[in-house]
Amino acid sequence: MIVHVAEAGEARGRVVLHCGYSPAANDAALKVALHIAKAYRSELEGLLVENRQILALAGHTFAHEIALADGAVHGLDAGDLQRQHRALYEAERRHITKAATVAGVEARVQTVRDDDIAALVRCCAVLGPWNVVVLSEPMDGSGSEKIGRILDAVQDATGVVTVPRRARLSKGPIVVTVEDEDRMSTMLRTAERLAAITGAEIKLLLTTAGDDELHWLEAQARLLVADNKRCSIMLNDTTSAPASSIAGRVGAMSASFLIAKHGGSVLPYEDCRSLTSVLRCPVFCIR
Amino acid sequence: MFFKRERKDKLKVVEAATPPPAPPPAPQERSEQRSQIASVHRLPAIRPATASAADLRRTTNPQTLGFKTTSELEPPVGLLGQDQALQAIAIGASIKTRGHNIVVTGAESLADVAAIRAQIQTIAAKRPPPSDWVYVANFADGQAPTALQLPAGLGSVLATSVNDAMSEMGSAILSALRGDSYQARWRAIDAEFQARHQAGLEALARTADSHSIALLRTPMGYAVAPAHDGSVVLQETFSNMPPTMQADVRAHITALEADLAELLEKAPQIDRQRRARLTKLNREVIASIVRAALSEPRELFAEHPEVLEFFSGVEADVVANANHFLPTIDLTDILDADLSNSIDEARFDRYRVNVFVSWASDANAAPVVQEPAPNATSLFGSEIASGTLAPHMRLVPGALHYANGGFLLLDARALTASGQAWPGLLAALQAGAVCSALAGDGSSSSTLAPAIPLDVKVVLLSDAEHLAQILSVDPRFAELFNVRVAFADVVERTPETERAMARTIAGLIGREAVEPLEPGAVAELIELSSRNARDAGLLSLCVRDFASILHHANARRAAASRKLISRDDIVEARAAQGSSSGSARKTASFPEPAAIGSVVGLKSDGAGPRLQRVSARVLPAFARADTLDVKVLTGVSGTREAGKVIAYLASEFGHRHRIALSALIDGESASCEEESCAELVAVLAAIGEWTLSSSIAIAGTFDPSGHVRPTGDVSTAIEEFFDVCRAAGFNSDAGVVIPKANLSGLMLRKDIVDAVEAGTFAVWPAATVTECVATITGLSAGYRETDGGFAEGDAYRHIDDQLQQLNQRTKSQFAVPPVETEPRP
Repeated sequence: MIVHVAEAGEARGRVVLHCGYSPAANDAALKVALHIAKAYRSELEGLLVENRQILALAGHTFAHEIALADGAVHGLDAGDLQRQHRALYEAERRHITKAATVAGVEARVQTVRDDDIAALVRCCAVLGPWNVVVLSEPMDGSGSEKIGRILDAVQDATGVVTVPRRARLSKGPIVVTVEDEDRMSTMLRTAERLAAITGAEIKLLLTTAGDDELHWLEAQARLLVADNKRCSIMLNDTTSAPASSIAGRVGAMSASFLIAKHGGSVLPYEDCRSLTSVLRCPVFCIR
Repeated sequence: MFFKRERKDKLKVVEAATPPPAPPPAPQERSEQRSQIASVHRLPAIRPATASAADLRRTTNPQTLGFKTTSELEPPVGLLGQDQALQAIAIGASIKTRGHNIVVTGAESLADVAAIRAQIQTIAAKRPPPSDWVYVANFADGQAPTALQLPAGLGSVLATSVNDAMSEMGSAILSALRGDSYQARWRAIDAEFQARHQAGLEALARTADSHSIALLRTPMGYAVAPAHDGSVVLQETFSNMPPTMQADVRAHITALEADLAELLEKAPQIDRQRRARLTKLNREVIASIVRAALSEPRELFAEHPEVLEFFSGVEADVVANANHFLPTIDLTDILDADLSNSIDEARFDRYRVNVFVSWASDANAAPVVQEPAPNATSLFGSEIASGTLAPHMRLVPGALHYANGGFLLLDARALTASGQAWPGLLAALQAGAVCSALAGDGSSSSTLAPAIPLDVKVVLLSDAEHLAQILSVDPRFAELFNVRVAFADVVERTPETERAMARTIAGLIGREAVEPLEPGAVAELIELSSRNARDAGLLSLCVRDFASILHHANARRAAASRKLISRDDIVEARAAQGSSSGSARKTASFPEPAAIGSVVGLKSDGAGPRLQRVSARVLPAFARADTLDVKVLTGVSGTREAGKVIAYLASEFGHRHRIALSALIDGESASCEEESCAELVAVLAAIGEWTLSSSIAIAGTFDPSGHVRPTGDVSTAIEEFFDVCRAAGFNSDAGVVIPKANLSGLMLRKDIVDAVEAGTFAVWPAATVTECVATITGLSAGYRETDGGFAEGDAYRHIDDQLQQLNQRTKSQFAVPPVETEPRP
C-alpha cells in the first residue's frame, strides 16, 4: 500500500504497471514504475492484459496480422495468438519479478483477459482509490487522448505515468508545470517524494497567461516552497510564449521527470506530439 | 701413488747409471765431471760460456720511476700500448661506406672497452645528430604502420601535439553534443522521421475509424477488424450482416492491410534514412572539431609533408568513424547518452604517435650505444602482445634502432650465442634496413611494420679464436666487418713505458681501493708484467691479475700497520698466489733416464712448456748403400721424414764420403713439421754412441745451415726444467742450452737467477748447432780441415768416423754396389 495513504488511514493504493502488447519494448516503463514504487514506499502490481478485442478479431476468417518488423502479412490464428500471449506474459512476469527483487520492491503480477481500460478499472477498484498507473505502451502523439480516457474511466487512480519512446531515468531536475493554484501543493508533494530518492532538484515552471496571473501564481508558489532550497521557480507567460514552446524548454532542461496536469497547455487533451518529440523523461500526469 | 713410485724407480736407474749428486763443484771440476757422465769415448772437454745473472732477469730501478708513492701519480690517459689500435678504430669509425664495420680483438678489460667507447664517441661528436623515428597508424592498411623520420626532438613534439589535439577533440565533441545548436538539429531530424512514420499510422487509424474498422496492436504487429462503438464485431454478428456490407468491409480491410503492410515495410528504410541524416550531422560537427584541433599541429609541422599527410589521414579517419567518438554506440540515441562524463580518451589511441626513437632537440652527436646482452629482442626490439593496442603502438625499439645513425658496440660471443640475433644483424647490415621486432624464425614480426633504413657502424668486441670461428661460419661476416683491429698484448719495455705502466698500476690502485705503493713495489709489478709477457724486453698489458696481488699485499701491509705497500708485500702476495694456484697444477715429471742417443728436450708451444726425453736410434741403411734415411715417429706407427736433420747431416758429413744410415727419432716434433735442436743432438749422440747427461736440456730449433733459431717462452721452459731438476735431486751442474736469440728476452724467477749466481744452475746461449753440441758434450764440435775432415779429438771427427763405420757395415750388407743415379748434394 502507499505509505502516505496508509498514514492517512486508507490502507490502500499501489503502483500499477499496465502492460499491453509490447511489454518488451518498455523496459524504461518498468524502471520508472519501480522508481515511483520506491518513492512512495509502495508495492508494484504488474497488470498484464490479454486484449479481448484481439481474441475476438482472431475469430474472423479473414483476420490477418501485419508484422511490425517488416510489414509481412500473415493469417491470424486464435490458438497461435493465445500461445504467443502466454509465452510473452510469462517472460514479462519473470522480468518484472526479477527487476523488482533487485530494486527491493515487493511485486505481484497478474494476467487478465479483458479490454485495456476495463482491466485497469477493475484492478484499481480492487486495490483502492490511491493508485498510480504506469503505462507500459510508449507515449506517442495520440497518447494524451488515451491518458484522458484512462483518467476518466479509472476513478481509483490519482495519476497516470507515461513514458516516451526514448525516455531514460537520469539525475536531472524534476520539472513541475503548474498552471493553477489548486493542484500546486499536490504536484509539489509528488515531486518531493520522487526527488527524495535521487536528490534531484525541483523546478516549478509556472505557466499561465498574463503578468498579473503569473505573479499571483508565483506568490502562491513562493509561500508553498518557503525555505525548500532544492526547489526553484521559473515563469512562463503563455501570452508571449506559446504553449508549444514549453515542450522545447522542458526538453532542454534534461529533466528526470515531468509532472503536469492532463488537459493543460503542456499536456493538452488532443495532440501532444510537440511534447513527445522532445521529451526524454517520464511524464506524471495528474487530473 | 703408483706414478710416484714408478718415477722413483726410474730415478734409481738414473742414479745407478750416473754418479750420485754431489755438492756443487768448482767450475774447473765440472768439466771433468761431465766427461765422466758422458763418456763412451773420452774426448777433451771445453767449457762453454754461460749466461750471466744480469742476462737472465731485467730489473727495474725504482729510482727511475720518479715518484715516492703511487698517490703522486696522475691517472693514466688512454690505454698504454694501444695507440695504434685506437687509431685504427678511429679510422675505421670515420669510414662511412657500408661494410666497414669494425671487429676489435684482444680488448678484454673494462678499461679497454671504455677506451674504445671514448674513441668512438670522439668520432661520433663530429657526426650529425640522429633522427627521431615514430610509428603512426596507416589508415590504408591497419596492420602495416607507417614509420616517419623526423629531426631530433620532433618525435616527442609530434606525439605531444597529437595527444593535445586528441584531448581537445574529446572535450570539444562533448561540448558540441551538449550544445543547443547540435541538439536542435538532431531533434529536428529525429522528429521529421518519427512524424513521417507516426503520421502514416495515425492517418491509417483515422481511415479505419471512418469505415468502422478497428486498428489493433497484436503481440507481433497490427491487425484490422470490423468494429462497432469501439469494439470488435464478433464473427457471428459479422456473418449475419448483409453480404454487400460484408464485402464492402472486407474490401476496406484488405485495402487497409495493404497500406499498413506498405507503411511498416518502409519503416526500416525510413529508419536507415534517419540514421544516415544523423550520421551526416555528426560527421559535419566532428569534421569541424578535428580540423580545429589539428590546425596548430599542422602549422608546427608545415615543413614535414609526411606528417601533414598523417594529419589528413587522421582527419579523414575520425570523420569516417565519427560514431566511434560518440558516448553511445548507437548514433541515433546520442541525446539519451550520459553526457556528464567525458569521452573515453582510449578511443583516440589509434591516432596516437608511438615515439619509437627520440633524441633531445639539442643533441649534437651521433649515438654510441653499447648493448651488453645482445639478443633478438634487445637488438631488434619487440612487439607487445596486446589485442587492445593499435598495431603501431605495440612496437618497442631495440639497440639497433637507438644506434641508427651512429655506433653500436656488441660482444661477439654473446651475440653469436643468441640464436637469431647474429644472422638477423648480418641481414640487417647487408640490407641497410632494420625491421621492428624479429620473429622467432628470424623474419620480421607479425606486424607488417616497414623496415627503417639502417645506417649504423657496428663495433664487435671479440677474441682471435672466436673471430676465426665466425669468419669460417658465415662468409657475409668478412664482407660486412672488413675493419679488423687487434689490441696489443704487450708493449716494448722502455723507461717511458715503465713509467706509463706505473701510472696504469696507480689507476688500478684507485679502482681497487687499496693503499698506495712504494716505488719498489711498483718495480716488482713491472718486472712481473715483463715476466707475464715472457720477454724481458716487453711488458704485458694485461694487468687484471694484479688486482688480487694488490689485495693480498694490502692485507699484509695492514697487518704490519704500514702506510704503503712494499716490494716485499708484493713478492709475498705473489708467492701466496702462486702456491694457491700451483697446488692445483700438475707437477711435471722428470724424463726417462739417460741412455745412448737420448737427450732432454725443452719445447715451448701454445700449450705451454714441455719437457721430454728425445731419443734416436741409428742403424745401417736398409735398402741401398748410399741411403740416408732419418724419420720421426709421429704416432703409434706413423713416421715422417726428418728433412732438416737429413739436410744437416748431409751438409756437415757428406763432403768426403757417402752417408748410409737409417735413423728413427722419438721426440718432440711428432706433431709439427720442424725438428728441434734436441732431436738433432739425439741423432748425433746416437751416431756417436754417446750417453748424455739428463741434467742438461736443450731448447730451440735449427736451420739446415746449422744456426739455432729462437723459440717461444723460453723463460717458462727454463723455470719448469729448473723445478724438475730440483725435485729430482739435480741441485748442481744442471742447466739449459737455449737459442742465443732468446737470451735478451729472458725474465727468469729470482730463485733461478740466484742459482745461476751460485753456480748450481746454468743457462748456455747457443748460436749454432755446433755450440749446442759442444755445450752438452763438453767437447769442441770441430773445425773442418782442408781435406774436408775434422781435427783429431773433435766431437764431429768422432761422428764422422762412426758414419764411415756405418757406411762399411751397409756396404757389407749389400753384395752388389748400388748404381749411381745422381750426385749427392
